[in-house]
Amino acid sequence: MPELTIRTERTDGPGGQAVVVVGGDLDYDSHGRLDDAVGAALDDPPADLVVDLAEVTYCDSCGLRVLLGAHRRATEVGATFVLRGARGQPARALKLTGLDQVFT
Amino acid sequence: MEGRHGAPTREAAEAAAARAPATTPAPGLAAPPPDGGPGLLDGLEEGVVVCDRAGVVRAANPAARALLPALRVGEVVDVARCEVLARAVHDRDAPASFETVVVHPEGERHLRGRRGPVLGPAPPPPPEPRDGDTTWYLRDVTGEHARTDTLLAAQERAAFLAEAGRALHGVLHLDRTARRVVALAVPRLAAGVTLVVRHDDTLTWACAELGGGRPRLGHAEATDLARVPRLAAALTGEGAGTGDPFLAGDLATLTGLEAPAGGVRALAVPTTGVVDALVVLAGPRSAGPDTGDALAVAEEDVLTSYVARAGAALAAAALHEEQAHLGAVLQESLAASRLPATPGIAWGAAYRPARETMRVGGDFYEVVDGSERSAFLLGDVCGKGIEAAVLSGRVRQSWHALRLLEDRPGRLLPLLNTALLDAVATRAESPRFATMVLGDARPLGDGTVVLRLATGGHPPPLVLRASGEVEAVPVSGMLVGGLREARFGEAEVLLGPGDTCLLYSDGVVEARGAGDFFGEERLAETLPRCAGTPAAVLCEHLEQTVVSWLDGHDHDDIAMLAVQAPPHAAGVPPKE
Repeated sequence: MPELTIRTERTDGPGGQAVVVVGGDLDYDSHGRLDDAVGAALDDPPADLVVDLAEVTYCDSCGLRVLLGAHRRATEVGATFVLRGARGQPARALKLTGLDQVFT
Repeated sequence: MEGRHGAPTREAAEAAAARAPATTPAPGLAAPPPDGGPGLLDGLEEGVVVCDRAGVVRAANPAARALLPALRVGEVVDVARCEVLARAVHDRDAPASFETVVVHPEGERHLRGRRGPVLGPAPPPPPEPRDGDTTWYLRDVTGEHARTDTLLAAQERAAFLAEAGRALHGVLHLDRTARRVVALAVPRLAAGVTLVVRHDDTLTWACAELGGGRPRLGHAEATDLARVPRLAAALTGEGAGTGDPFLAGDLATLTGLEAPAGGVRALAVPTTGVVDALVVLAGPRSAGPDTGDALAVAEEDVLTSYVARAGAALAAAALHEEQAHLGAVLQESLAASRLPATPGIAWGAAYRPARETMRVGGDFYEVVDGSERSAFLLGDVCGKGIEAAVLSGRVRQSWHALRLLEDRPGRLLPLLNTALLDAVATRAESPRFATMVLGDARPLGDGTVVLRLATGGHPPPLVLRASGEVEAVPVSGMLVGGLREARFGEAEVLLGPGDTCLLYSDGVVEARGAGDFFGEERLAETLPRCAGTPAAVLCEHLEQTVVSWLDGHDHDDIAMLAVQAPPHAAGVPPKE
């Protein structure tokens, strides 16, 4: 099963973005690492927090929970949460749970 | 150095003595015998130097000459090139002992010197040694032996305690720990050892005796302590003491074994309050803390340390059993519910928790039989283990309560959503949500069953028609307990005789075998082959198919619930 990979890219200044690029399996075993990465990205709140799921191969309910938490935490610090790139099973999971309507 | 190396030979000693004809042998010292036999001093390991008032060396044994090769009998001690010794000889007020380092052909030597008694007038000379006389040198080695024995005993005690620590560590099973505690203690601590442990309402005893084979073990109710008052008092640390003759009798009453002959000694075992435990020693090696001498104190230390280790092991085992019990109780309360026998409806279910969650999973289903409608629920909470079990318990209990107030599935879900969000909000937990399908089934009496279904973030149920057709119920909704503004859909499905509606958790479609997911498509392809089979068999078959797909790989919880309008052939059970 593909190991979770996380890479954060930042553009600074007003209107700056933090883009968390995630790959591999986002599941019970690995979701804590994304939670940490989101926390780190929000330490210095960007205008937008972008989570890119293009390379995510699997996302279970724990992964969805982290995304929901990231959305909430970003909103709390005034950042806009953007989820992009989901395809395959993660996209189906987001649609099934209605989270695709929340993360627009 | 004088060009000599190593210890002087006897010839050299004799020659040295011969070079000092002016000196008479010191009192008490044997002069070199005329026949060339050894003087008495020659056998001493300690070097002996005798000097007169002027500092002239009058006698020196081979050991002294070996240490100070420059030393010459008949010459002043100064020639020995040991300044400290020379000073001590010349100055009678110098300290009576010294330590110094001297240069020696074999390298530096550390020398310790002490002044012997000042010799008086010559006593009568010892009898002339005769041919064939032997000499014996005696040394007091009591101290050395005592030190060695003490060391060995200390090593033995440390080894015993270390072994006990190893053997008791991590047993985590109360009976086995108790057995080991007594087995290890015999015969090291006593000829016979009995352990009594009270854990909640249960008494456990274990008894080992010298030559008695495998320790015996038994259980009794804590209420049985009423029959053995001395033991009961000792167990709570009140009456523990040595030599209570009734204690042995109480012990025999409890265990049904013969009372130990002779004195017994009882010690309360420190267990941090998880259990009460008492060790009773028959023929103890350590009589008690007050016996005084060093060995007895050390033995008492061993006993105390052993009992402390036993206590820690017993407490750990008891705690572990409590946790295992907690898990078992939780598991029992959360175990998949039994399916009712509902007239006009056939139920089927399969449940396979993920391997690593001690059979307490995050998936769940419930079916409640009703007079008109039977309600059902199948869902999944995120996470695994106890946390997931607690949340799924909350979901199921909330559902049981709320469905009494609101039976429309599409209205029940928002209530459940709010209840879960409120419960989490009051506990400062981060949101944990559930996904589920819930609904009810009403047999219409003509062999058909009408279902009302609502889903929250869950795969839509599949309907398998008796003809083998498979259709997904067009219903969707957002996850439950995650969002205040969540919206949920509702759908109605009519099942004809032999039609089945299958609710399943994502563990089914996300079962991952050699790389690929089982998937909705494969599930939809498998189902038609099950057309016409009873609901229970259908679930069993699907479970087996998924397990084969997994091919030994780990999986998430798997749960399925099938609602079926019984096929005509099976007949419609009469309504009561």
